[in-house]
Amino acid sequence: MRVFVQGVEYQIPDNNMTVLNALIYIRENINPTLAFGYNCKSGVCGSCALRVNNQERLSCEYKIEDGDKIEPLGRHHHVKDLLVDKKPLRQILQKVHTWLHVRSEKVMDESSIELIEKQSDCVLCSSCFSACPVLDVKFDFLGPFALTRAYRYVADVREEDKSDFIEDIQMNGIWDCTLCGECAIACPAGINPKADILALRTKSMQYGYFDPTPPPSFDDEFGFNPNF
Amino acid sequence: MGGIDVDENLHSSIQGLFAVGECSNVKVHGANRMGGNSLLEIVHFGRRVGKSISQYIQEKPLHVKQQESTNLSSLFCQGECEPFFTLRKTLGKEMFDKAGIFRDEEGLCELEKSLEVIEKTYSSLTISDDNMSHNMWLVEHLKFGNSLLLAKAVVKSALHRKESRGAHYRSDFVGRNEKALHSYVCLDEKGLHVSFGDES
Repeated sequence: MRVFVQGVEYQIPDNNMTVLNALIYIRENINPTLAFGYNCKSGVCGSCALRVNNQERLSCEYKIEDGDKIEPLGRHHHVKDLLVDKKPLRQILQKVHTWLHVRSEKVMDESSIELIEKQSDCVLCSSCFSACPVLDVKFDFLGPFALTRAYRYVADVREEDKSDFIEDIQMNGIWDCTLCGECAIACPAGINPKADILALRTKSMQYGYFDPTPPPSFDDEFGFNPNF
Repeated sequence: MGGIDVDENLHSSIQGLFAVGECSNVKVHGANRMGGNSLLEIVHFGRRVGKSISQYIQEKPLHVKQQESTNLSSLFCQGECEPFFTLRKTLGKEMFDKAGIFRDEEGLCELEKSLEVIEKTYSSLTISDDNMSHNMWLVEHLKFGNSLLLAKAVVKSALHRKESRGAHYRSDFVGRNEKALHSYVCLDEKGLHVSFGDES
């Protein structure tokens, strides 16, 4: 069957392959210079995230079909073929200081673990970052995974001092999310960053913060002017 | 169960080089690692190696000099270049068939000869992509050289150990020797040498 890698057509055998196996086949038989990322080949590490037909997928999990278009992740600095630069995203995590700040001696029981279980599954594959439309207009938006990780520590019962986390996510953070939900669709681990961001908004208000976006009014034509 | 020889602080025989996890041999598994113990090993020794490294660099400041050991320019050539991938499949099949679960002298000696043939072919291969950034063909090609070296070490050790112990099963030597000896593989200018724990 035919597949397109960044617009280039390749013929691959039709035997129920994953995208990653197809890429390896192409590299070993047709084009040895093709560069793509992978590591565990089991859907756990997130290194192989890319876009198939404009939807973020893990290449080691998604079964390839005839006519599929394979492209690298969007909204990342493009390096080579299907490789993108994910290093700047790690620096974003540092802004949120995601580690336990003041550790209490509490023992976690089942219900406490359930609060943060899903959010702890994040492997930083950057699929959510690739899907987030806010990044088209705001380059320093903290992004879905940083905010999910902040939520993971805010909801952790062992953390005594949550105010630092809440403070770090106010600027370019939770209030800049459009709540489109693309991140939740893109996440291969089934995490819902949108729900985490909404929970963080509630939490921020409990700490005395509020949405800095001015509410619509007559002065700014309710945020839009249909007669332009 | 085999691996880079390290002491109890996970320090190898090379100053400043530490190894931990499945690649290291900190001598807790004996001849056959029990399932699940690998995870326990990395959790415990991962913590230990972190501590021993932080202690080491407090006593000896870090100074790393980068040297290019392989002359890569001889690897590149323009035009048609056959990649090493078929060789890798051959190596995998040969190792599985002859140095897998059941080993014997005949199979291991044949395997030694196959490895020499594979190595000869490998040393004549070239790469047409001379881009020095994210060149996965080059990286995998060089890694394959390391795989070949390890394959030779595995076969030599298997031949040297004339007994069956743990995961190493010789159909021509099914019993266990009285003394349980570690085997050590060294690489120097003359090549690979295998010796048992007590031998010099």
